[in-house]
Amino acid sequence: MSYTITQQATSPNAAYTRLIYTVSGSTKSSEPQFSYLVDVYESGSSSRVARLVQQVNPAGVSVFDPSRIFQGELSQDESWKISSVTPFNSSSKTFTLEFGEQYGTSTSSSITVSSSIATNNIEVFRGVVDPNAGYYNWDSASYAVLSNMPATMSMQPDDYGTVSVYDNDVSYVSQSFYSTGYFTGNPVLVDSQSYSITDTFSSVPIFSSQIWQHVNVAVSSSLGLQNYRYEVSNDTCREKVRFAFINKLGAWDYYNNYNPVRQSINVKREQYTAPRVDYSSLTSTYDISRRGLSDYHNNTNDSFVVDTDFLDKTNANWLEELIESPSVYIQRNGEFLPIVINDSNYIANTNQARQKLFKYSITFTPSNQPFGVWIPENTPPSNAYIVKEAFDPTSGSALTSQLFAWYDWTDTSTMVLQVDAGAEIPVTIQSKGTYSGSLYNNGTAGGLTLYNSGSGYVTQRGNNHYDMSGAGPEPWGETDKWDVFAGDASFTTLVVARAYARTGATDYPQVNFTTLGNLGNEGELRAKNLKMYSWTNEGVPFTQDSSNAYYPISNDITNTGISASVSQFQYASEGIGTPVTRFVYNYSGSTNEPAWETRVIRRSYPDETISSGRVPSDFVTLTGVVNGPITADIGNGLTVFGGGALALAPNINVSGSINLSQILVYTGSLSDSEINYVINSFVSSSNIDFGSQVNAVNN
Amino acid sequence: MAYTILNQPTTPNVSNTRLMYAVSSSNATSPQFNYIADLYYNGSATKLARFKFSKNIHETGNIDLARPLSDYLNYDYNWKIANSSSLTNSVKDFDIKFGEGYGVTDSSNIVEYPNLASSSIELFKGNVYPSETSNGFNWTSQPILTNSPATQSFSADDYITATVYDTNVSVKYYLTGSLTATKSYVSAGEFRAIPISPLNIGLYSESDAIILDVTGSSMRYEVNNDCRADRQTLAFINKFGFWDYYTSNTPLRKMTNVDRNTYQKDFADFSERVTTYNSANRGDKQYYTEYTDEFEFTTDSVTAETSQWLREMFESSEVYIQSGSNFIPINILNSTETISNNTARYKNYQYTIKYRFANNREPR
Repeated sequence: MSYTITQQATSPNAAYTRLIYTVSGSTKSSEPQFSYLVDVYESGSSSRVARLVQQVNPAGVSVFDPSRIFQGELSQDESWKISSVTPFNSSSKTFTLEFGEQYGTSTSSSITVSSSIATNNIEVFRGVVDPNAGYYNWDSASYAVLSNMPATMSMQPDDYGTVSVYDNDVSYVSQSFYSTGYFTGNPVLVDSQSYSITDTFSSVPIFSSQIWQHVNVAVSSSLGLQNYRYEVSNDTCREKVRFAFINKLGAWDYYNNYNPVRQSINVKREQYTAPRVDYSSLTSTYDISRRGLSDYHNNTNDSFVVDTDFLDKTNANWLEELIESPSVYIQRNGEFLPIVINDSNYIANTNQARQKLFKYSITFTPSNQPFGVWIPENTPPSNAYIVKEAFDPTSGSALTSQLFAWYDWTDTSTMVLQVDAGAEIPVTIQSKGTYSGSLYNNGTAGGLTLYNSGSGYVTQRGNNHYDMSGAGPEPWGETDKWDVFAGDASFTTLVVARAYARTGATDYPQVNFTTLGNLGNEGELRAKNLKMYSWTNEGVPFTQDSSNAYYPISNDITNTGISASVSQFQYASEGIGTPVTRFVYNYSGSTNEPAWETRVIRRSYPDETISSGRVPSDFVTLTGVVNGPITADIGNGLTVFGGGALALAPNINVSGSINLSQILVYTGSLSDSEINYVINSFVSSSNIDFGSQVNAVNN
Repeated sequence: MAYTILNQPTTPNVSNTRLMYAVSSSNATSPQFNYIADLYYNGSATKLARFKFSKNIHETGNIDLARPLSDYLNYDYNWKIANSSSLTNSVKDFDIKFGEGYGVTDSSNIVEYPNLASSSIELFKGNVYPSETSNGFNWTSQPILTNSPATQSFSADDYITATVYDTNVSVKYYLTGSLTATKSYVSAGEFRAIPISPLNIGLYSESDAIILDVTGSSMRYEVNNDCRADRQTLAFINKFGFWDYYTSNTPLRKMTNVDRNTYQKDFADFSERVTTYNSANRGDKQYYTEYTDEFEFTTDSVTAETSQWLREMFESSEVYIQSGSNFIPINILNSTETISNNTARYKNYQYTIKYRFANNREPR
């Protein structure tokens, strides 16, 4: 039989167990002073860490346990603040064991050493194997995540955190960070990460630069998918202490506790009594301030006690690892401060049914004394983790009416843009509603040009306007018509826009804009349409004179006050000819710079009411002004159809403009709450930065 | 030859921290090499102490001079100053002159080469706690050297001072909201004690409010109108090594511990020529009686801010109680105290402060 390692520890393995190696079979075993030996090297190093020499036992073999040596060579990796996957460095090492033998020629001779007859490599980490587990070796097949942590834990976005993994065929470690939608309260995915594992033992950061309220961590390995959820505390302004501790698997675990920390100081005074009389002075006079009992060394130690919340058995058993940990830190002000847990005995939760209201009081002292002022670190308000969501005018298709047309002037992907005279002009804009047709830029007198102002698309009075015809300018509704605006239909329109002040204006004229409801009696050719075109006025709010419907006046009209009105007027407008009944909603809330506003028109049929306003709470309603589908034959082969339309126009003089953001057309009559929902969804959306300005100016 | 100070603490700095100096020398590989640090008062040729310290594996030397330098600092008992006063005992400037010593062989004589590089530092007897991570071991400068709440009380018969650093100082005296007078002091680049109380300056005793204004900070002192007759004013060395004052208007309790040492004397007097019965003959006789007076008072409810500040009094090695115009040395007896770090949680938190005089009554 030759020299043989007949028993060896598996690799990788835990350092805190018994790592048993048995060697036998040496041909020299009968020599005097014979012993087996093993030299321990860090893998790749020629510097021997230690040599163990063991005599042959009665069974003729030698048994080695180098675990203590490995323990001494390992130390913790302070890897709390890593930003990428970081392999274990000091806390995991590979060692080479070179087995040999030594013997003499007589019982008193010098010894001949033969080293490195057989070798074995082992990778160890700072894990612990329970002596009562039933085996010495770490059960590597049972682990991918080096933690016994519960599946749900607490963590704040400003907390450092890591999860340590053993590459048990780990294909990825993914992290999905969610916040809470400002408007819906639903989880919103704000960030996601996926990490690949290449080293045997690695730490993975749990980090996102986004504001998040919970993160789902998934580790995919040969064990399947292990899921963990880290939640931000929903309790506002609770005092937080975050512990970082080495767990039983030699990796960092983190525990957030949200209960008040009680601080106490212990002052140890070392004193002597100085003589009352000063024998060293020229004349010893009475001095009332002369100290007798004097402190010559005062030493202050701070200690802290914090209670946990009530713990279930899983959490309680996990926290035993905190109490037993050889290395514990607390995170404060972004730094990890070493502490010592002082609890020397604790009661384990062995049965949750019997120990229902179970909690620990953790007593700890800072490793570096004195600590000084403990300033509580409180959890931020729960709304700190709320993020805005993208504007959804359908409320996830939950509204009672269908979103028919949605022209989003903030979404250039829906536009065909063309540069004209240095300005970027949308040639077309496509609807994102169930209707997918476009509005077309059709140059004609009295129309609008939209150009990129740098803060969105702004109308400017010019020779273009937008309508539904792709075949050139047309008067109202000559080609495309929307039944959504039919005389026997209910509909709701919602526009987000603002009057756009003139550059360099020294005053702020009444630059409010107008939404125009086309109420009927115009015939089918005059209804069922959507236009944006110029609109001017001579009076306050409008002169009911067809000749002024779209021609500018010569002077701006100074805003003399706040007004809100809705009226029906006989207006003529481009291509219509005979004045027809329309209504105009007019609102001016400020004599200063105008703000973004919403404008809503809600038409209900068959009760034939039409309401308009900025928001439902200031709706003004007209009744009985909307005729049914076919009202009369007006001669000349034309039949009058009732119906609605939407027109947008600034009502200011030459330079009057409006900033456009949204045009929404719904196929039914939205309720007040639904309209408010859509408005609030826009105001709080993530894709605009002027939500706070919307309807900010009030009467 | 190159000798370099690689690292040194900022100045001014506190003595109760780690004052770490790191030096390197091109001779560090010489046999028996040691670095040398000589301490001097600034501008003095008299060496206070010499420290020799070994090189490390990087051939540099690290030394913490906080402890030895602290030994040369004391306190200034300047409660009764009437004018701005410099701090001669509690703030001092030191020169540290670094050198080296080495031999030519492992067994040769060592030749010392002092003063190859020097550093100066201004020190005072303050503290930097290890948990104060903002500036490492170094003190972060602030104009008023106290952690007391920004509003304090004063009485016309109390002495009060404040210690400031590197700031212009205005002490404004008010009566019923009107500014009575302003006393201006300058402490540009230095530490100075400033008299605050009217008793200190002998003026404006009718003032009902005093404001200490410095660059970027202020303190307000409001007259103590407490109708309670009891008043204890304690003066204590704070975390910065200077005086703070705390007044409580709560009753003082006194307990006296009488330690009687006795021996048993025989009832019969064997020293008499004829021993006769004498009923007055003492059996138990006190041969030594020591009296220890202990005092305690319970504060009013204190806020978290006050609690954090008063920990400095519990820690302080120098506490005095004002009695009339005298400051009598006392020793705080409290050894374990809870610190309130949240007023909301410790709403009615009070301390019972126990002390005894540093000078006991003479035993009899």
